[in-house]
Amino acid sequence: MGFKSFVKSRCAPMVFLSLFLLGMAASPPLVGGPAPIFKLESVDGEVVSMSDLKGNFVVLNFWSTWCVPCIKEMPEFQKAHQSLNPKVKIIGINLAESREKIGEFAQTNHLSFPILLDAYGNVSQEYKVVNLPVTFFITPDGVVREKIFGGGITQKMIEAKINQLH
Amino acid sequence: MKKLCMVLVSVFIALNLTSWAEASCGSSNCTLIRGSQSGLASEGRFVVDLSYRYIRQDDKKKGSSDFDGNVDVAKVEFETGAIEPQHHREFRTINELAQLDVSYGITERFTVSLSVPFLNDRKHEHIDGLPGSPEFTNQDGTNGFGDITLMLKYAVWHTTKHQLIMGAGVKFNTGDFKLLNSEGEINEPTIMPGTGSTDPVLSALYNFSLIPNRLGFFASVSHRFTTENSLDYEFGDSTFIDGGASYRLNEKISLITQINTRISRRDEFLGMGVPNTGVTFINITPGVVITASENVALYSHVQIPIYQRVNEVNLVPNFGLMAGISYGF
Repeated sequence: MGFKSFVKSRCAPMVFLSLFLLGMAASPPLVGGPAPIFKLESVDGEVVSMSDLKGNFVVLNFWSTWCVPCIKEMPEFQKAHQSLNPKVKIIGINLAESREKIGEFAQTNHLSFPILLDAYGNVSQEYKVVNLPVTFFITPDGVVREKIFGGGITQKMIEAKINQLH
Repeated sequence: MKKLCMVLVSVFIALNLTSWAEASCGSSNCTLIRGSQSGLASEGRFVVDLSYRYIRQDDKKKGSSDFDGNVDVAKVEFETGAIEPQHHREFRTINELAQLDVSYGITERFTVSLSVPFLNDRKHEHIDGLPGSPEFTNQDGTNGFGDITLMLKYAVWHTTKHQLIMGAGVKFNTGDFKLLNSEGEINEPTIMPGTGSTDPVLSALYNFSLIPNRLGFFASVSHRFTTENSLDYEFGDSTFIDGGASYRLNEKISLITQINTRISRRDEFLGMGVPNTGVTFINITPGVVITASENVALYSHVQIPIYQRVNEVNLVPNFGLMAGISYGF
């Protein structure tokens, strides 16, 4: 069978099948919808859930210690945590690393905002995280208003974003 | 005649490995699904992978059984259009293959990759001239440039824990497929660097990350739809079914084990089935990956047969080795 006759007889159905699968893969966007709920333990052993954060402006940052751009952002989140009013909650969600490792990192870098442990990536899955770092801005009504992908977030950017969304 | 598409046995492994250097992070972000789990390159990034394979092929098989007799195989006479059964006696083929793979992430979900098998060196030993005047020769090996494959891969499902990547591509007719043997005749098709045909390839890869970036599992299937070359020879369609697990021991070292299955149908010449072609191979392939730096990863695999079946009789590999280096930028 030559190449042209193959394309006519066998390849076309495969192309249609691929397009069908592509269509199936479409999913609703996260931004603009309700923030997925979660309940996770922090490095300090405290359990934090979305319901605890209700009525607050939440900045949710997904990160990991092996992610260099994530690490570079951490001091900026710490500054924002210290400077913003208490109704703004800076929360870090670490992806699948050990409590000891994260605790050591937080201590070394003087991080005092809550860092939650997403040991199996289930919350990251809910937030459709496929690259790190990624930061979500969730307004007090529980809606995801913005997603910032990639590193480079600064304290000023966080403050400006909160002012903009308020 | 030797069924020598072990090159293709390793194709899937190579496809999986093209993103090893993604263990490092890009300028602004890090992909979660890394190493062998990924068939994709990060958006705007290149991954260049250089690999070397050594496959020694001198175990005898009759069907799926070990065999102590002579491996007398057929010859395709391209000049006369005939197939001569039990034409010559196989002893050994040693395959050394080198390949360059380049992948580029067009978007987060869409990657284009090019595989260039630039070195195909096959040292071949057999006794020619059966049954009249048998004569040993090791002069009928081949060496040359192989067939380039272009693949487009798209992640139709792309989440933290799940990834489904569909691929489609073409293996082009760029390799040598009319090399001559020591007697000036066209050599055995199965030891040629190229097949002489342009073949579509489809693939699907599913990853599941039990613990993201640490413990993952994958399964995949790919199929090469072969077409006839200008010598009226058509290699049998090949299907590859693979599954495995990867575990990141620490920041530097990851371990991988895969089961690789390859099923190739019998080749045809002028519409006739070619004796001693068509195989089913199942290998277990443990390997290790070392993240040498932020952008460079080194890897090595050994391929150990656990089931081999040939049509009639043939030589089969008793092991394969693969090593490579991957660089992302």
